[in-house]
Amino acid sequence: MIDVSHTRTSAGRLPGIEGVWVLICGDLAIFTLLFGSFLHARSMALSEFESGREFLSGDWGGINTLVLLTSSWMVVRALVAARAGRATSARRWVGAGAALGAVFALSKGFEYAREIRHGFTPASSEFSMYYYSLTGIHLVHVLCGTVGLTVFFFAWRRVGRVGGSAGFESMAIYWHMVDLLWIFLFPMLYLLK
Amino acid sequence: MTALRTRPTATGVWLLLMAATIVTTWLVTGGASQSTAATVVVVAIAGCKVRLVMRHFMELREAGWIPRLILEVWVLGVTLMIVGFYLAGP
Repeated sequence: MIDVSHTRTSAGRLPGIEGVWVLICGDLAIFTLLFGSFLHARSMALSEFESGREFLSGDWGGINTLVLLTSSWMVVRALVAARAGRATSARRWVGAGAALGAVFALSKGFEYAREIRHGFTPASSEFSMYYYSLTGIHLVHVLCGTVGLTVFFFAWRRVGRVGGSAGFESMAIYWHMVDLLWIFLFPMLYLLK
Repeated sequence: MTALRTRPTATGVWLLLMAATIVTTWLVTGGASQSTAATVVVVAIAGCKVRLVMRHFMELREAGWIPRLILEVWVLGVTLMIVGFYLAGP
């Protein structure tokens, strides 16, 4: 396991590898365009978007937010443990973080099933098209992150030790980005009345 | 030392994020009627939550001023965009 080799300049310390920040900025730019597109379309057809929004369960969205926030915190704990060389603790925290990522994905799957059962499909309205697109793209990010965290869990278990590696720092930064995108998506889709 | 300093802070931030989510989801927007001011508060709190995640979980508070500025401007820009489109509606 490589040691921390993050970007360190006299102006400060940027964790992870530089490439992950390029990925983060690119992803944030794409989501900003999608947010803007959604908000513009919403402003053009408010009543239609409000009718669509009523299909969604704010409770479900809120619980999913709590799950993702908790997973993010667990990954912070995993990184702190890894930097301190506490292998067992780091492995447990990253495993728990990955498990909650899977819980979010499963929960989102059940939520989609409930909505489709009630006739709210991607083809139902412009709102539903945006809803399934935005949350679907986000869900793909969640699945990628969950797989990544699981890989670290098994890799650390196999070698029996951990390092405060730039690789895991980058993984953690990606996972927190997935979290913060949802923090904006949730009120935009579920709570704007 | 880093571990000793970082753990309680991260846990405190997580508890704050959880509390803010519970307040905005079930207390501010839980009812059938929701004022414009309440919606703006919910979006503003979301912006604050994103800023907390960036500063404390992504460790941007330790980064140089350029990446910090870029991401702080992004958070502010997205928050203002959501509020702006919301308030511009009829």
